[in-house]
Amino acid sequence: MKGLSAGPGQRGKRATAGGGGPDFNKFLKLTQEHQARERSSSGTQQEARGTSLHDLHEQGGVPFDGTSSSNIGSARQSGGATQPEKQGRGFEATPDVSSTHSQNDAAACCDAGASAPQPGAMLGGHGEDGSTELQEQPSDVLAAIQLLHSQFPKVRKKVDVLPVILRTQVYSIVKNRTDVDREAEVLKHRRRIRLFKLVTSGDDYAIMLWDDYTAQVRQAQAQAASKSPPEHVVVFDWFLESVLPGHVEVGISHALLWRLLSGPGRPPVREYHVSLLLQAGLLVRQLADSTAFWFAIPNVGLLVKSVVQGRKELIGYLSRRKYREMLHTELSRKNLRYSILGMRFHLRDLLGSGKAFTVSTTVGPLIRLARD
Amino acid sequence: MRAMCLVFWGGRNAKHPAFYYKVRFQAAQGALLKGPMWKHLQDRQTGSEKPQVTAARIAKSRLLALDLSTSKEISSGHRSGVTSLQVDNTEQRYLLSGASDGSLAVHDTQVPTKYEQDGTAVHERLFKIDKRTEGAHQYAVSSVSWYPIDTGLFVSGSFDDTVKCWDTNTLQVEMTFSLPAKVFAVAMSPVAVTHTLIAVGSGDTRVRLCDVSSGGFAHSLAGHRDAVWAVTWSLSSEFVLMTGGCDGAIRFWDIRRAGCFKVLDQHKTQMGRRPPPRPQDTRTDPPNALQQREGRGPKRRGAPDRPQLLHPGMASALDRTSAHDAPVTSLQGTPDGQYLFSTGADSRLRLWDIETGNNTLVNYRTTRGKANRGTQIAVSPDSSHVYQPSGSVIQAFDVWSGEPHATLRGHFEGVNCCTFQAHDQEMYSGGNDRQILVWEPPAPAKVLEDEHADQDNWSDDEGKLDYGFP
Repeated sequence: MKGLSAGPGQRGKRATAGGGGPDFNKFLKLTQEHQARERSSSGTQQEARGTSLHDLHEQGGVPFDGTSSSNIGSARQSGGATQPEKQGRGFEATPDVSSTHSQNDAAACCDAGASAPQPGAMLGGHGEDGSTELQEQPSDVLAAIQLLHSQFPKVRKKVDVLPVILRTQVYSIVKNRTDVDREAEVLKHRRRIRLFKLVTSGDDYAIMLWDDYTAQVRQAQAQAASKSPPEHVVVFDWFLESVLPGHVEVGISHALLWRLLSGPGRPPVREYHVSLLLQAGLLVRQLADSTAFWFAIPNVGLLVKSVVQGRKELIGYLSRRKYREMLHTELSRKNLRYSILGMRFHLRDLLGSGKAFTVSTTVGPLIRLARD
Repeated sequence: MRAMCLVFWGGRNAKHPAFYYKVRFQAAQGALLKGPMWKHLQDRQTGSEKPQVTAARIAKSRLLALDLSTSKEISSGHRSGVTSLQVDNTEQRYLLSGASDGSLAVHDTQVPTKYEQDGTAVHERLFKIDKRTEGAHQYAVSSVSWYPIDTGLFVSGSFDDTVKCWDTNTLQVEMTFSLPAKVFAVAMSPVAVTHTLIAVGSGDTRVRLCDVSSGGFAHSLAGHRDAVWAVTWSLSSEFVLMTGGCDGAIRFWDIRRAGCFKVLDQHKTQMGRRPPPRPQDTRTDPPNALQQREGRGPKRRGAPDRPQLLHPGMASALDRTSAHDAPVTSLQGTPDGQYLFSTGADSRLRLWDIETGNNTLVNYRTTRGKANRGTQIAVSPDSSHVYQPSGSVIQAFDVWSGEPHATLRGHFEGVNCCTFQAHDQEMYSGGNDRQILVWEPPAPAKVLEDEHADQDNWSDDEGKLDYGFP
């Protein structure tokens, strides 16, 4: 468990130091490591997770609550040998986490207003006790996200956006998709990552690290400050203070947004405040429901376009091959015409979405399109 | 113990060795012949294991070995793609099928009509209703359902905008319900004792309830914003209906009350199984829909904090929460009535907790979900596996881990529907290649030949092993 907890940072560093070398090998190695770890510790770990989730349900009346995450962490660290009821008691004995966490509910958070603790404090990782950060979160998914974050293609010159990760890419590293979804849910409620719905196709989600997203919001605020009067721009502060920590889902209804924006000691929310957020690209209207919004990343348009077109190009290229397959080494040398994101980004996306899979051959991994 | 061996491993009337290898291999896959099996049988013999446990174990191992049947085939009389299948609820014996040429047929799944030369049992149709029959459907049949109480009546819905009730004995139309649009799904509640309603999902946004006993429309449930492709009744309450529409919404209706009482939200999640309630939990009534929905739906801009003064049912009609990002193509409850599967054209299969309405966050590695009408998925009788048609194959997934368990290949074109026959762990599937295929665990090796059947079983000649179960 120790090694697991120390994992993310180190691996991330190694990956960045490596630069543009044979990253795929690294990626494979990471995958293998992960699988080996899963094999070795599957029994105890599963059990630990089971009990913690059970406790989680018992803990709050709400079906899913941010409290779970810390619980998962503790359960894993303890090696999973603890009795469920014992663990429940142990959890109650650490009141600081559970008490601060109850305001997952948007309304509760809103009522708490200014007295609500900072999101950082809720994470437990951003405060003074930053040293405990990694020990608290031995999450494979977070490690994978950090790896992908460090390997995000250098597109800052063309698009002004911080690293955006696709959920399918995480699937290509952590094999168990159910685990990815569940851990991403936990991380979301712990305010470590933020999920965004992409308008590309049915089921695409982008992941951004929480701090990156807040930086993006600040940036959008700085841009808006030059054009709009300060009493309008103040809405960005409200957005950062109440809306983001108060509502971690991908979409928000108009009424809830309104309620979260208006807090004690604030001037009444006006329609132009919301318009400003829409203009800055932090919110987009939902097509199906005109009274709701999706959260969005500013300036992400070109990136999304690249994702869609690159995906199409890569699939088209592979399907034109005789056996719909190609060696990874050959494929990675190829450049994509319609995407600025590079082959590695798209390969991971393709492998994670299940549209292609790897076959190991004597001359290296082979990428093959799935049949059905 | 030796007799047992023979049952599973084959007697002296041996077939080709490859056959035994297959049996052994598949059985081993299904944990049938792994070491503990003998221990379990011994436990059963001494009575320390309950009979249900043994039965469940054997059923499970058979389920895991499910494959295209080599000994049984249904000769489909349809001249067009099979769109819907259902096994009757009373005997688990008669398979009702509907096809896209408007024909309906019933097959007996227990008693074969004839045997092929190689011993394959052929089940030919008992009867078929096609366009030549008086009152038959003009266009494709989209959905069929047996009357749940007995097999004297069955219901079919068709793209010719009608739902028809048929008398099985006379093969005549007993009742016709005309709807305003194409019918995509019909369902009757298998647990109903106080009503005989057919829930109909159609191209119209309203879900209609047709009353067989009166011949009229009992209800029309408004709430969906697009056509309704999937309809299923709850297995725990006879009044609860679940519908899935092309707007991606799954709505739960209590037919005794106005409006729907729950709209499933894909972002409202729980981690897998719901834990059993603790004894100290006092059971409280579910929160009032009015309170529950506060903060949703449009409100007047100036007054965001005023509570909604809408009727709960009406308020839920304004709820646009979605369960899928594309049309919901099928709904199927687990046999225990606690969980609900839904598939969508967004190529996702989701598992919902019916009680809480939460997405359980099991990620099934589905690949294809494109559809232009509803499909039919199947859940194994012990709720452990789910089978989803995907292109020309059927994918089997483990319910709680979401891991793919098997890919069943056999159809030559797209598969439309599959359904389980609970008694024998058999599955039937229908596809656009006009076939109805039988999926069953490999047959155990035969021990006795007919000529020995009436001989004594206690022969002392070890060379003539002839053990059999009494």
